[in-house]
Amino acid sequence: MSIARPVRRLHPLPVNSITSSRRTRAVPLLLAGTLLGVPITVGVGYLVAGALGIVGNASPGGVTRVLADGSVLRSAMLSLWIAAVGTTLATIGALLVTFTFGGNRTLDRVARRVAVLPLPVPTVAAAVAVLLLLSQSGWLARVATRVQLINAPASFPALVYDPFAIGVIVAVVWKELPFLLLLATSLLSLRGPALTDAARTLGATRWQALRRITLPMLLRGMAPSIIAVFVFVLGSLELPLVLAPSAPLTLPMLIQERRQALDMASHGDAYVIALLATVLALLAAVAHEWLRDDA
Amino acid sequence: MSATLDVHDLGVLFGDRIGLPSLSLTVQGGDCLAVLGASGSGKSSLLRTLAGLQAAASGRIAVNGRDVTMLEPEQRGIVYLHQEPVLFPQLSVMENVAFPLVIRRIAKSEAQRRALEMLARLQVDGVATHRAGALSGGQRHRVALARALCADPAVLLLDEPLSSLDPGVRGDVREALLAARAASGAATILVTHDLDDCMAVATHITTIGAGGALSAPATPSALLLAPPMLEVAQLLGVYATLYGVVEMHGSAAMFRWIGGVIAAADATPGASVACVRSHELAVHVGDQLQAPVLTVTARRDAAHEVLLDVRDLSGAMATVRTFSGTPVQVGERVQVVVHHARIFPGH
Amino acid sequence: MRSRESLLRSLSFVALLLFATAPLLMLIVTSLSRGWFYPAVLPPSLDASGWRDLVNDPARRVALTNSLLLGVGTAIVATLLALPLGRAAALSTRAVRRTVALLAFAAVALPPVALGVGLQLSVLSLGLGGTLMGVFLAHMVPALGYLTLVFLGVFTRWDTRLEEAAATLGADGVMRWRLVLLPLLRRPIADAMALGFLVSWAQVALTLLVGGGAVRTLPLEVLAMLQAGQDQHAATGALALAIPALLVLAVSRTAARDTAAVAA
Repeated sequence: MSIARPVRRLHPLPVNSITSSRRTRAVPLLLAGTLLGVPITVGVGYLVAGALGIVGNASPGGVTRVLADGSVLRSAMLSLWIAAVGTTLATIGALLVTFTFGGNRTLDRVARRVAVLPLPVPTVAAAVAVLLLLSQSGWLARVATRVQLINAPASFPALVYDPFAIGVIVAVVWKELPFLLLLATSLLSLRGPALTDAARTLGATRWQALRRITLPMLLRGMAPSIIAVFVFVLGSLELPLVLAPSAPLTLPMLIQERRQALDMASHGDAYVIALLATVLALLAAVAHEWLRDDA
Repeated sequence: MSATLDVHDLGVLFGDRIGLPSLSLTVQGGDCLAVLGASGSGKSSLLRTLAGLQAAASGRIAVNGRDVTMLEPEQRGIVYLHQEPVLFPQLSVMENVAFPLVIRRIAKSEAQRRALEMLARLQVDGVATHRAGALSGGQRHRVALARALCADPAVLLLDEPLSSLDPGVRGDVREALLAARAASGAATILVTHDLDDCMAVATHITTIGAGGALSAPATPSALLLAPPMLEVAQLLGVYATLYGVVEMHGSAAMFRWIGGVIAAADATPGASVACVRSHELAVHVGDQLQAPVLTVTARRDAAHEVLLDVRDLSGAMATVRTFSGTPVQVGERVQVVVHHARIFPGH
Repeated sequence: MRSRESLLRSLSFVALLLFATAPLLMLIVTSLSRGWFYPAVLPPSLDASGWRDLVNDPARRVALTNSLLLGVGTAIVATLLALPLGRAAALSTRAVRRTVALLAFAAVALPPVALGVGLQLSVLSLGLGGTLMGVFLAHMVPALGYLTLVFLGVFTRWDTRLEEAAATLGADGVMRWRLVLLPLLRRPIADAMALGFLVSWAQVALTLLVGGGAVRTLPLEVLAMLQAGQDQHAATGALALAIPALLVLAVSRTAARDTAAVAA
């Protein structure tokens, strides 16, 4: 028995709730645009407006003036130094822990648990703790005095408020190592064994397999997150606020200082520097997305 | 009597383009239509389109006379079973099977009673209280079937139901499929690339060829005996293909290949292909018969047959299939006698 | 070789243990001590007066209340908004997924100071400068970013076949949500809320800039105490900041991972 009705041409677009959830572009883009796009645009837009003097009573900053300002350059250098060294050390530390405690024995599992402890601790709390430990009247200094390595706070090396921002870097490593460690461990357990087996049966020694196969695989998988960490550290206010010197200031602190300053020129500067920092962050976001491989 | 599933001019999408342009088929309640096709031929897309999990490009789908083309999947009365059984992980086996009843607002105790009954029908009631994740492959299939049957579907769609199973378990689940068919009056469509599944479970077979055309449904034995086209024969995969020419000998058409001639009833003269099953020819060692002598150049043993590459004096080759355990060895001179063949035009 | 290797491992373990716990231990001990100055290696006495002060001081109570309100509010609202966004994006085309992921990551990667300065201006013009609502809106930006990434990840890995099976078995949209999706989403939602809470709870720059100093939260109080030289109180405050965060780690490992994380 055949159907009497003539053939109907359907619109080849989704017709019901199951099929429509696939492949619509409008809904998620609209939502994302409103929830995420609008605040970002508003925030950045006001920065632009502020830099141009349209709002906020700032006298126009002028990108050239800011770029020519030596203190801005020094701040940028300091921020980059902290972010670069901190991220590198955190990565190395994470890899060391991954390879030392990568197995399945009790010690390995406990070690990995312990290493992740600092992960959720708010940055401010971490900064305070590091300050109490590393300052010249801090706990390490007191131990050094007790064992008679030094006899006055001033003799203890300046690890905080110092030009190399050692205290900040220590705090950065403390906070970021666990995050990179979790990533490295999961990558290793996911892809490690198959790759290592293949390499070993092809004749590579443990060390060769590690150096040529496992390590590159880990670094490639961690790349987007390493960029993320770098960008977070770059933009962090609370760590340098607590632990860093007052000159030069890190970039975020510089922005805040200029914004709170009384003269309008500084306000303008603040907007411009903030814009530059924003551009950097957006570039990092693009790099991060570009490096991720997923469907 | 109204057919249970009526499909007319259905356009099936592969992603954004139309993969199968105009499909029509009809399946009666209680029957099982097997759709045989190569990988990537769109069998899954067809089922998903029928179930409403994928939009159709055109055409009409009717279940028991009711047009369901624009309806939500849950309103069609069509149950779709994935290749790997999808059981709800947070529910126990019994809760899984009772799910279709519960959502139709049947009281929980009654639903569970019916679920247990269905599990027993499919002989898997022993695992009723297990978590869905704790089952073996065969058990998962049976539970998924039981659950589908509890939804009392008008149409049941099975997407390669046995391909994920070990050969040993397949027979077990084939039994389950037959039990399921006996327990329900649904029109079933089974998609597979395995002929054994078709033979065991289906009442009719159709094939999807190049260009997305469906061959006319035929019973499995009828199809094997007389496949409508060379393409379909090749899809079935059980024939040796012999290349040759159909010539007229007086008023009779004969198919000539390197191993001799075969009567070719209504065949048109020209380059042709003969499809022969392993029990439709005999391989004789020696040169006693009135037939060209061929040399065996290779022998490949498969699970149920032996494939022999044979060569004539001019170097032309052919591959024949014969029974498992044949004593013929490489290098021997043989003669091949074909008792029955299907002749198709082509190269 | 074996014994030297295990000695190395044991030493490494101890070093790791010290490194991970020393700062926290320092906070704990400092918060429980009074008058502990250089060069005393051990505190002269242990008392919990720091904790009493924290709870009794009205200004600090306000800060604590604000932090809790902001944290819980951010957790709930951000989860409610990010879940549908993440799901819609995950089920859509690859280009949409990547765009949304980019936007979300941008919200998270933007230096809070920069964002704060920009939002400060906008919030001022809306008349919300220095209000709790203004700060809440500011906190929502990174929170939405993080949670969108979390749900994007959750739904990208989602097995859509479950809903398909439920649908052909007769369950409509509402039933599918209630019986299939929500039970499986309980864990991710809890994790997301925990993460949203932590993002707001630990926030400094946004609160400072958008709140203009008028909105006090716990992290700001800690900074103030530090700048005033009140080490013990600062440590107490820092510990009060850290404890809920560590509890979250104990309860949900994924939420804690996502605190600093972007779904990788």
